[in-house]
Amino acid sequence: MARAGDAGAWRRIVRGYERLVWGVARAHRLAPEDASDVCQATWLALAQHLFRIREPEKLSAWLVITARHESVRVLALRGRQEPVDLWGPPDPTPEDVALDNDRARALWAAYSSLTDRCRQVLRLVAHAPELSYAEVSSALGVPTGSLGPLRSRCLATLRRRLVPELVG
Amino acid sequence: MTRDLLADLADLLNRVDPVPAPLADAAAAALAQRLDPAVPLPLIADSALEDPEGVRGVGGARTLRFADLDLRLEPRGRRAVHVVGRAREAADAVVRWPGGGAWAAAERGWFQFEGVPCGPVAFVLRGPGRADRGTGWFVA
Repeated sequence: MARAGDAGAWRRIVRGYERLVWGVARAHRLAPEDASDVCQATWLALAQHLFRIREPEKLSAWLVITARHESVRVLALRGRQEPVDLWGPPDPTPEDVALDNDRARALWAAYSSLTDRCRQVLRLVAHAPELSYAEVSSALGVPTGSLGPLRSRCLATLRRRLVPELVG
Repeated sequence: MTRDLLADLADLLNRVDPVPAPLADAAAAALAQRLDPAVPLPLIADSALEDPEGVRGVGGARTLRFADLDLRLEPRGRRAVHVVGRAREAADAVVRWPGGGAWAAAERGWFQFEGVPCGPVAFVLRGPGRADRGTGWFVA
């Protein structure tokens, strides 16, 4: 229906996948302004090529790969932004407001302590658990055979660092 | 347990780093920005990927080679670019960006656009007796 120009159907697609597309751009540590450009280009590209996507179950993979390709280009052009330092600014930030309980603060602290690669993997699988290993591998540019062990290692590290945060 | 942890993480990421409201609006408007159907011009080379050292920082130009079209994008301040293009066959050029665009007559294949906003752009070549040819959307 979106293919035929149905604005309602299109909005449902956007609502269903906007967090995933944003997550891919931000997982590349693009500044919000650059990540917004990447996301907007991805949605424009989808609108243009909607008729080529015959299998709806492939949509998330298509969006992830398109956003990744554009993120890599923008990254080369404009560079990275350092991750948000939640514990740095003395004044309350939007992040402070979002971390409204011990569990949330502990999870964020553990997640923030991971490597870039682990944060990319976990952000992607958290937002799009329906993606296959092959699709996640393609989206992140890692060999398919490496993804399973990498995902397991990242999750194990997250759990290990989460426990002391909660206990301590 | 893993599913719960990942669901918690997804929820947390959505709260800490939410999709900006203007972006959600722009995404919803993307359907109305669709270009007229055009024969795709495949991207052949992009200096952003091939020569990252040469395009980093302020003042670096970026070159893109598509089938039948070369583009050179030169930064003008932080939020605009000057575009010089060369179509390998005589054609007029159109540049589109969300909510706007411009047209230029090509002279011997050459054309230029001043003040193209940084962000998503797409280019279309138009010539007599030929179907329109267009690039995909990319971030300038």
